[in-house]
Amino acid sequence: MTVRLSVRELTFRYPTGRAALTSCEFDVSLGEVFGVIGPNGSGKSTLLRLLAGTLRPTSGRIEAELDGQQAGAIVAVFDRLPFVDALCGRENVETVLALRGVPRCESRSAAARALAALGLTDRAEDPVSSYSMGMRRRLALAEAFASRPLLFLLDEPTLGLDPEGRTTLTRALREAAAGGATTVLTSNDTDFVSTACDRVLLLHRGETIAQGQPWELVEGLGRPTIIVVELDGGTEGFSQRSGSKLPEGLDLLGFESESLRVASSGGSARLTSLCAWLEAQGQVARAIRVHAPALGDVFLQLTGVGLSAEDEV
Amino acid sequence: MRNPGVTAFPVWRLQLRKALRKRRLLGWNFLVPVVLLLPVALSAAAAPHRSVVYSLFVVFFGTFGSCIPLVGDRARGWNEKVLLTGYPASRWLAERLAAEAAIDTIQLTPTLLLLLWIGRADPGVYGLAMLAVGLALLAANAIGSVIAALVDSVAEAALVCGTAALLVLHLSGVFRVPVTGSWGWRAERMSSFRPLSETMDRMAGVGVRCDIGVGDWLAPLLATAALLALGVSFAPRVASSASRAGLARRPDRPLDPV
Repeated sequence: MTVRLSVRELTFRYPTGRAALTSCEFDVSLGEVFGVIGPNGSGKSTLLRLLAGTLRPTSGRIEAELDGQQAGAIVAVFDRLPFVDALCGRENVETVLALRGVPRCESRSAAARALAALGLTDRAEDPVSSYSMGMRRRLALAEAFASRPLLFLLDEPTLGLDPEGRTTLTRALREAAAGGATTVLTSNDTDFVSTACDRVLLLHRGETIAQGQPWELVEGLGRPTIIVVELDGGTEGFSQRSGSKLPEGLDLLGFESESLRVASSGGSARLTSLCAWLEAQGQVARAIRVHAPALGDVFLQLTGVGLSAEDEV
Repeated sequence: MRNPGVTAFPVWRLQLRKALRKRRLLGWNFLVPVVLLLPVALSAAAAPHRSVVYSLFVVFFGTFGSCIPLVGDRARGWNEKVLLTGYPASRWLAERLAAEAAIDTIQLTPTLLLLLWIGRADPGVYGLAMLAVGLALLAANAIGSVIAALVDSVAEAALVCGTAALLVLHLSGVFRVPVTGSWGWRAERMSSFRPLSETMDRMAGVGVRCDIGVGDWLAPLLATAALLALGVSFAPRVASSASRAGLARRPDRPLDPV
């Protein structure tokens, strides 16, 4: 059972005539985690709803090479997280599995596995009404993973998740991808997308502005990583006496009162050679900050606006 | 053939489980009919007036009780979530309506027993009354689902449910006795709520106005089946706002085959 998606000239207009998505095109390969990035109102959720079939495209096609039935092959988790609040987390997951036609004997173990993977075992028997926002998000993801679909459609899956939850989600997505599941997700969390996604699509006001592998897009910026090193005892004196050249790939940008700024053309990988160089100079680093260009910078360069700069359209 | 071990009627089971877990709401649903109808039953009001109040209450209980939770569940995305599992929309709504009607009937049972006892009606009426109330609640739930497909909010739902309930009761001869052979008379004979009206008359002590025989149940049964089919046909619109606006595809086939 596999799924491969091909989106062609996809456009969606509301009855008012406002275009939420214009001529969107992309392909998602089998077992790929595909991220869609864009600020609020850029059309990310609309795109996901079109893929899930809860919205009908104004024009264009969403083609799927899908072995087996479509019904039940897709799992969609949208921004709203509806549950039966009177039931516990386990019962909610089992209810979704029952609706998907999973036999009772399998659903209990599948629910337990998914709840454990999302770190909800301790609260599995508590009513969902007592869950926090982050726990509700984890429960929605547990329902999705327990269903073992061919295609995951996840709208802002990291919203409300703590760093541990994001790591857990990334791991679960990679495991699902290794098992052949395909994922399309939307997010504004560029760190998460860079880690979890194989390829990304940048959306701005309903239009595709770029797509590719995250590192490829960031590298395309041609900007170095900036490393700021705070030195014990400050930079006074050191700036005059540091005659030796910085290691290859590192350029000294300048000194401040307590720190020096270095540009690295090889990202944070040059950090080790910088530290070794500092040690050779007899300097002790008190703190090191790395400012690496990210997908947010790519978006800013291409559109002139930040990912969180726009209000909902 | 059904896959062995698969939960049969999962939506029906879920509705029953939800009703049992929401103990506070369950308590209110048992108590409110008693609190509202007991004073009427004990009052000096004429028997036909008491009967009208009983019938009104049952139909309101069914339409409001079906429509408002459906609109609420659509607003919070629950209905759409159920359909996104691939569960057939018509089956989802049919199971839900049947479960709600059964729960409503159980919740009204203590009240019906009290009314029977106070009205000193023939105990034989009770079995008929339960059947009539069950049928009326099924029809009222179906009407509630049609209304849920047409309205946007809970406030609209309340207004339309009230109006629709009064209209269907009017067509069932609850408020007036139609002239034999007239269109009103024909509508009354076919109405899902006619058995309710007749049995409530008997429970209130009105006496047998138009005795209802086995053959007289056929048309109301068919009318109820038609109402259910109508309600179920609106299932996608009940499930999602986008469907209501004509913007959705079939959730069970969102993708184009290559």
